[in-house]
This record gives sequence, C-alpha cells and structure tokens, in this order.
Amino acid sequence: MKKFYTTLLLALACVASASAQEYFTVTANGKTVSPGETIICGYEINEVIPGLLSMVEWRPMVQLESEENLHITAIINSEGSVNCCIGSNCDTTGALHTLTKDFEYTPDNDIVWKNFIYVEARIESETTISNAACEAEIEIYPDYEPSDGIKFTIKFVDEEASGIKTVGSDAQGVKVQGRKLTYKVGSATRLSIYSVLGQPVVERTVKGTGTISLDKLPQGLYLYRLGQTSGKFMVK
Amino acid sequence: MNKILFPLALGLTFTLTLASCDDISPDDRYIEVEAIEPQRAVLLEEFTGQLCVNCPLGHETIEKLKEQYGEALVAVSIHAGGSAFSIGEDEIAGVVGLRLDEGETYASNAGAQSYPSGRVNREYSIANYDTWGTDIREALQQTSTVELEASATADGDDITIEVKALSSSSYTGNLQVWVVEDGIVAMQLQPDSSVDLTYVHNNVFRGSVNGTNGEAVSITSGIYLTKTYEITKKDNWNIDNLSIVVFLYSTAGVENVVQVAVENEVTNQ
Repeated sequence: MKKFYTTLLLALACVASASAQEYFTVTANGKTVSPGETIICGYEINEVIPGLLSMVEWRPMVQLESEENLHITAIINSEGSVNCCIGSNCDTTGALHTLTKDFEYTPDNDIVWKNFIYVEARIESETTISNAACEAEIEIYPDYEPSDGIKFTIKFVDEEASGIKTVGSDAQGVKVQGRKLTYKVGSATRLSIYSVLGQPVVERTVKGTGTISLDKLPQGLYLYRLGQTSGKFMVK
Repeated sequence: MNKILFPLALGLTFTLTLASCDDISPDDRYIEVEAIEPQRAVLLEEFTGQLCVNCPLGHETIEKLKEQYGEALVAVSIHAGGSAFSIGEDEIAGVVGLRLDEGETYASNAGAQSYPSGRVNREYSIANYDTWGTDIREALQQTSTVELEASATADGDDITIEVKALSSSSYTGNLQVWVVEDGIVAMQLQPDSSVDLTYVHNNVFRGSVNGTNGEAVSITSGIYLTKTYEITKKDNWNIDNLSIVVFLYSTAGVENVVQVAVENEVTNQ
C-alpha cells in the first residue's frame, strides 16, 4: 500500500459565515477545512503493470465525518479527460472536460469517507498528466440545514506530491537534479526507469547511496520505480 | 441443468383408502396443492472495469445479493468505460483484459457514466450499487407469464445451446443469449488504488450468441418457442467456468431470465 502526501496551501480567500460545521467535519490532512479554502494536491504515479500501464493519481486525504445526512456537490473542470472518484464511484469528465457530481452521504452507509475524493487518469501520452490537472469546487451541506454548508476548492496540480518518500523504517528514495539521479536504499533494491509510455530505459539493482547519469536520455518525462517507491522526473 | 419449475395450476387430491388406516384421520387423507404463479428471475447488468478502483465494491455487492436471492438473480458484469476504466481484451500483450466492444454498446445503451453502476431488468434506473438490492426485491414481485428453459453442452470446443420458452399469453420482444464466465484471474484496481494481480472476476460478459441486440421473437400462447445455437469456444474461455444467460426483453424491460452452466461432456465421462 502506498502512502500519498499532499501539499497543503491555505489560501485565505473569502470569509464566508463560519457557522457550518456543528453537524459535520471536513478535514484535509487532519486539519479542519475552512470555508472558501483552497487545497492543493500533487500527484503520484501508480505503476499498475510496470512498463505497460500506469495511472496518475491525486489523493488529497480529505476526510468527511458526519452524524447527519449530507448533500455533496462537486464540480470538476479539467484540461483533458480525467476520472474523478467521490464516495463509492467514479465518473470521467469526458469529452466536455467537466463533471458535476451530486450525491447523498448517509452516516449508516459503509462507504469509507476518508479520501472521499480523488482523481486519476490512465497515462496514455506525454500530455496525460498536464491534461488531467484539474480543479474541483466542492459544496457540502446537511440536508435539513442547507445554509450551514461549506464550500471549498481542491486543485489537482501538475506537480509531483513528493520526490523522496519514507518507506518503513529505512528512508529511501530518488532525487533528480539536472541530469543526475541520486538514489538511497537500505538493502539491494531494483531500480527501474521507464519512458512515460512504458519503455524501460534503466533496470538495475542498487544498494546504499549512489548516482546514475541521465545524460543519454532524450528530453522528456520519465517514471521511476525503486522498490515500493515510484515517481517521475523531467529530463530537460 | 437448471430448471425453473413452473407447476401448473393443479389440484391434486389423494384418497387413502387402506383398510387399516385408523391412525390417519379423515382430514389428513386429502392433500391439495394450490396454484402457484410461475417463478421469475431478474437480470442485473453491472458496468464495471479493471481500472475502476471502486468496482470491487460492486462485485462484492453482487456476491452478497446472489447469496441472498440464489437463482432468482442473474448478474452479469460488463466491462466498459473505455480506456479510462477498463482494459480491452486484446489491448495489452500479456495482460488479460475483459472489455469487449459489445460491452461498450450495452453500457452506452444503458447510459452508464459512473463506475461501478448497474441496472435491474432494463427497467429500473441505472444506479450505484447501494440501490440494486431494493430494485431486485421490487422486480421479483412482478410475475412473468413466460417460462424460460435453457441447456448448454460442450463437446470439445463446440457448445450447443437449446432454449425453450412457453407463455400463457402472447409475448413479443427480443430473445438475447449471452456467454458468461466465472473465475477469470485478471488484475483489478482496489479502492486504495493498489493492484490485485490475482483478483478473481466472476459473472463476466464474454459475448453474445445471437447478435448484440438478440433476435426478435413472437411467442404464441401455449406454443413452445424453441431455438438451438451452435457456437465455438473462444481460446480465452475456460469451458468449465462458462454459463449461458438467456433473457427476453422489450421496451417494458426484461420479461424473464435464466442462467445455466455449460455442461462439459469431457468431464462427464
């Protein structure tokens, strides 16, 4: 199981009447979401079938808890087509690059409302990630008190969530600076680098700390996998 | 061979006239069977995909509903949603993909936009899995005038399918015959976006036998409609896990449906 990190920027935009959340709580990364707040979420690459099929995913760790029935509306606008999953199912923004999802939250249904919204797309071309970047306007209010709702925005941006990740007790990961890739692993681990379309360019077992030169790689977007960690980098 | 038994409206009376029946009171000598309405089953079409992270929840719902309703529920999982949600059958070399063009047609006809989603009897609205149980329960309360029977036997790669329908009133609609397969091991994304490479897919739509929309039929009251089909097993089907789904439908919805396992003559020897 992967852990996803979110970069949180609190944009102190509008100040709506801050009554709201006696009935329910919305938190992002453990902190209560304020009305009008903008949450920024970076992406992770999920190598579903290494070398053959990858997904780009944004998981903003937004959690919803309520003892009352809630109405949720999400309006998502994207550059390209992207899947937006809220609650128990996913829709695609499709050819119009926009999607409005309306649904009811009830406390007794067994949908897991942590990470209740996330966005993903299958990587099919070099432009998938930039096209999948999108924005969701979310409105949540209790059914019997619609005026006590909250509106906030989540931006799913074209920035990687994190370059170095901690897996278990050994900090390990990959960092790319210019045309040099630096890795750090505990025990012998397989390092694979693929073009964004799935063609392997580097496959080797590495151990400890070291660097790999990226001089021979053509410009473009690359995906890497180091044991359980994965990510992307640009060669310019 | 699965049969849905449709007892006719009979009254059976037995009279026991044994001399030494002292222990049987007069009232117990008469057994009457009351008229029973023909049983019906309902069809649930699920629209699903291997890249759809919430779709395992739809599959779990189907398994629970099948435990609850048994033969009264015929569920078919149709992989669709394009490359956004699913993997085509021959799309990626070495990867088992379950989406077929026909499945996309059914998803489009059903207006499937969310994944997972499903509809009951082509009569209830396409919806998320939390409404399927209610729709199935309601649909089962409707009676059908059409009795459907089917059988399917395999001899090597050749499969012979026989369908019989009988109605107590006339029926006009389409007869649709599908191949469905259980136990297909293929990847499936999970709700936490991890990949299960050994996921077992059941109730998977594998293709139509008599055309994407089936064939138009007209059933006369009291006269059997019979159809026979001969098909060849596709390379990626497992004969021992195949079943045939047969249903009658019209703009009013699915009239009745039946599912039978393909009997493999080889294993019966």
